[in-house]
Amino acid sequence: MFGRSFQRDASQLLLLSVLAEKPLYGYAMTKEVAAKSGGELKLTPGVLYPLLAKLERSGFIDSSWETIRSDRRAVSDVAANEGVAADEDEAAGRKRKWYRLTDKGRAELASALKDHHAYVNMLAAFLPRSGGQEETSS
Amino acid sequence: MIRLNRNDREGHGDHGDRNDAATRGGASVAESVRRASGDGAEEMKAGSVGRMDPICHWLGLLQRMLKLPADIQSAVVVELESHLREHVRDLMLEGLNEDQAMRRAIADLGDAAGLAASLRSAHRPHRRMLMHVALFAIAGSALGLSVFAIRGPAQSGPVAADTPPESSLLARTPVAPAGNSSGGQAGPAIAPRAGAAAGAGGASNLLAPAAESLDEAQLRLTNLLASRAAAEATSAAYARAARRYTTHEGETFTPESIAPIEGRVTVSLADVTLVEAANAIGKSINKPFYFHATAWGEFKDKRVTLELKDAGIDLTMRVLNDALSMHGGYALVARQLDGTIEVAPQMYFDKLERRLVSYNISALEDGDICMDELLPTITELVEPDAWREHGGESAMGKVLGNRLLIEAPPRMHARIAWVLRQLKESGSADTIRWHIDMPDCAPTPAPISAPAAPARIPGAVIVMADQDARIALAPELVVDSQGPLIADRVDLHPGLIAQTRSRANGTR
Repeated sequence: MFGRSFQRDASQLLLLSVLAEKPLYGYAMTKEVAAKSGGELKLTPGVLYPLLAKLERSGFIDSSWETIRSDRRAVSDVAANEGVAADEDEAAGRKRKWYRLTDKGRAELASALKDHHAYVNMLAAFLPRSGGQEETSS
Repeated sequence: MIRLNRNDREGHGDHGDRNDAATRGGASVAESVRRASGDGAEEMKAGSVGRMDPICHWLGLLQRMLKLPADIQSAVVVELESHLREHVRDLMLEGLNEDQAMRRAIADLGDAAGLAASLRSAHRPHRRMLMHVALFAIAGSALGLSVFAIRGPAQSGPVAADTPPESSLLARTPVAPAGNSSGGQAGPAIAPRAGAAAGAGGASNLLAPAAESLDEAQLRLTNLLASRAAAEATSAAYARAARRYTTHEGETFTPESIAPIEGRVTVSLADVTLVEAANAIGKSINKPFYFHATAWGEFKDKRVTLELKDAGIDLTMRVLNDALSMHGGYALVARQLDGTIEVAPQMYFDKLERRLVSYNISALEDGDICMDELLPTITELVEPDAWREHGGESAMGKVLGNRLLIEAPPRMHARIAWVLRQLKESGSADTIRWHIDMPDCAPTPAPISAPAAPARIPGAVIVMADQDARIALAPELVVDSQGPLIADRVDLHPGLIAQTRSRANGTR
């Protein structure tokens, strides 16, 4: 049931989850993950971009390019549709690649979440409630 | 274009740097990387500005290692630059200066080689699958050939009329009866270079189209063998003549095996031309001494002084090369062909003699070896100048799935195998097969060990190439008492038998 690498699946689950909320570009994803985890999780580019390529190839996400405009109100088509604004002023002319979850990706996320919860529940059955240390000391 | 003029920036505080950097950061991507990756390097050096932006430098490095289709590669680089620039901006907002921010952002991306390998793998996921498909097709064809070889050659009645055109030299090569291929004997003595040279005209007959059906393969082989039978029936003189090939200069040779050249040279030559030296050496050794046209070149009229007494051919060539200051691929080497000593630059013989060998590296994959580093390691260690990757012409290689495909002269294969053996011993791999390999999907032969008598392994697929890099297949692998390791000699037997001789046993 949990044949695949949990850590690899966790990264994928993480990405699909943040993209389920809104379209994001690569760097924004790293910030989003860091912010949501209180700085505990760091999605490194070495993991992020190959994983994005893999997810896109699998059809779980799709992408579009945004050219940042010089009018301080650069808003990508994707961002505009989703109400996400990127008010970059200093990056005029630079390009960003925005990623968005596809329907297939949403289905994959739902399936992965189900697996994940089942895994956590199964694991919980083996773990002491307060942790081994407390049990030993009490 | 992103350029840093450090002089202009002197005296500015961090705040000013931040705006400068941000503006520059959005200025360009592809152009900067193109320059960083080499096209505009000189221009960058010659410009009035200072050093190259570290981000451009890093991206250029990454781009060189990506080796992806241009559009994908470009997109990856643009995306990563955007990531880096934004990260730099944020780090500068946290208080780092621009240099510190750039270095930190780059460090966060990790080493370029590792990231390039991950990206390459992510963007080219079907590589292994495609390789397997190709190998499967090859195996299918080879299986057909094997089946046919076991059944023996077809009758040469009506099909014999289907003699290949004059240009098909292989069809006119005198061959042992094809029945030998299943006769349990050692492969008949054949000239390796006869296969290579004649293959120029005949290998196309052996090419197995990937989509070829078993019936088609058998029919093609039937025609081929029947043609050979017809050629065999011709006179020995005719066959001998048919084995000659012609250089682009119009000279003809009769290729023979790469055998040690017998004969001693005693000459005392002072300030003579190369032509005169060649004639004197040939006279001393009492054999025709032929300098290939490509060996002459600008050296034809160069004057040399030689003082040799009872010297072997190898020493003679070494002295000659010293006199001519010829090294590496340009160094002259000699081969004995039908009693004639042929002299040509090393690279000339390399082209004729190189063989495409498929190494099974699946055992290495399971270890700690980084497969992306495998080929670069080999090209750095084994005659670096010979590789196409380094501008040479004698060798080329590629890692495809769990195969390392290398086309190189036999002497290089021996060294490549040694490097692989070291890697195998340092890794966690238990075994690795060194013999000319067979695809996973081919019939599994008996375990290969060094037999006392020559043994035949049906079902093995031998991938070979002639000097035009055309690939042929053979259905059998013959292993003799010297062991079954890499092919330091892989011969294209006219009857589709490959014979390998090895100097070490990779299964040990």
